[in-house]
Amino acid sequence: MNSTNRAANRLLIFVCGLLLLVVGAAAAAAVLVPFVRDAWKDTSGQVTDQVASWLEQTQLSGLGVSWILIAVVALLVIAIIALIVFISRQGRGHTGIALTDPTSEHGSTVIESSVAEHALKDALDAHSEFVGSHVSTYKVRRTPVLKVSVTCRRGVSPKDAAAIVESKLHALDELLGRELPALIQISGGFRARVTKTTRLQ
Amino acid sequence: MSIASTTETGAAQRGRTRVTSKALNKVVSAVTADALGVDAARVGVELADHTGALALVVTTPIRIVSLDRVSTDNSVVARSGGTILDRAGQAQTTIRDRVSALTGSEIARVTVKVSGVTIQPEERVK
Amino acid sequence: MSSDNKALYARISRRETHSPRSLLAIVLAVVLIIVFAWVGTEVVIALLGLPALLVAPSDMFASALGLAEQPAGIVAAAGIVAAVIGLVLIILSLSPGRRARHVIDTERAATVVDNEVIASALARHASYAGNVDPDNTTVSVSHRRAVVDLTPTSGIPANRDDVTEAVTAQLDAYGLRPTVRARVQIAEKAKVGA
Repeated sequence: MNSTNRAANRLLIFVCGLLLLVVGAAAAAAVLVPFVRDAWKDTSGQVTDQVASWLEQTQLSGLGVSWILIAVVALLVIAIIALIVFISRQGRGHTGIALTDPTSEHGSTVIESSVAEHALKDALDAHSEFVGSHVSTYKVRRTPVLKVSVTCRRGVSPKDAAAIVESKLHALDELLGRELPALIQISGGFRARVTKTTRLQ
Repeated sequence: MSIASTTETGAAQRGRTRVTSKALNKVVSAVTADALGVDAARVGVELADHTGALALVVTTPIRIVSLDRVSTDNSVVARSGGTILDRAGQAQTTIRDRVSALTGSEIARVTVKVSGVTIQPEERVK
Repeated sequence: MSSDNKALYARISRRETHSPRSLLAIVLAVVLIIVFAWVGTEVVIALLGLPALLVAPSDMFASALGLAEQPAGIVAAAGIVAAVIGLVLIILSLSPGRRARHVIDTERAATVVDNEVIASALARHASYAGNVDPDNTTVSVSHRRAVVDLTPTSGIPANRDDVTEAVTAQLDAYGLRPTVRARVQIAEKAKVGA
């Protein structure tokens, strides 16, 4: 429920994939397909000359190096910084404030997340249907949303689990005086099935 | 301590009582704790100036009944003073009135930050 | 449910039921950072006139152009591997990446359930309906189907229709999205004394 930019993730993967595909296919074609191989050989001479003349023409006086190369380095640095920012933005989104109620210009009320989180968890832990629970608060499109995550015992119906959590949420609405948007996540954690019954004789 | 002896203006006084910020803190904490049913030691107070008058930010837990009680008993929220938002709003007014009465300071803004809950065991509601 | 909450819940439900592809994206980003850093360093070193770390930029350029003259086997193999990886990445970036979850339509909140919770609840009801020990029931829930595999006890036949009815009744009650249909399979060979 975090603020990860999923479209950006997929875009990066797509672009890398496309690049690899194109470069890989081109390289394989260059050695395998005779037509491509010959074309490659023929043009490589021209390309070398062209690039050499570019580097010559763009020489910075006094330094003896082409500014193209410096620009390339600058671009690489910018790219690296952008990628680092990209990595750091994965998976944020927690928030400490559940709601703000500006009563008037004489004062306001701020309800921190731990109020709802603590009240809900305390009520949920009392139910035997759940092995555990965890409540957190995220900001989704600038709205604080509660994430109520419950772990059910084996065999508990998802309908029952959802109903219990919803009744707690209704109680919270009544107690708080405001309805907070919420996500209920019902999980189990009992993937390994026991296939043999232990016989007690 | 009567109100008259602590106000700054007023023809009858011959002196001025200055309330230190530490004392102000204590008063605000006590008033808040009383209003919301928590321990004064757990109330945090920040004082700031707001164009000449005081602006208070009070960070405090609040005493509540468990959500299970709220589900089963329709009137428990009303009996315990209303919803959390109601009580916090009421506390703002109470804090402003009583603190200014006790210390004579003019209070422009009171922000109540409810930082946590103290869940009451299943006994009588305060 | 208010209308702006509806949009909010729709967004949340969609995100919770599909993979964010974060791990792959981070791995690729790290690889790119390393490659860019290395290339950048080589260029800077070359500009300063120092000897190259691994490969000087001019050599990189030359070998790229002279690709056709390199040993065909290695280049072809590397090229094909790269192209295949590229294709896999493209597919991963475009595929939905559904998680093993379902959405339950509820009033008060957006609800997502892990498939294994649905499976374990169905297994309980299926075993009861089929007069079978729960340990002899396996349920696997996928995007649109719940496959129930029962191994009955020898001598106590399990009625497939009863089980299907029980499981379907449960599924309808849950209100899953997308809807899940039951498929019950009763093993031919029963277990003796189970």
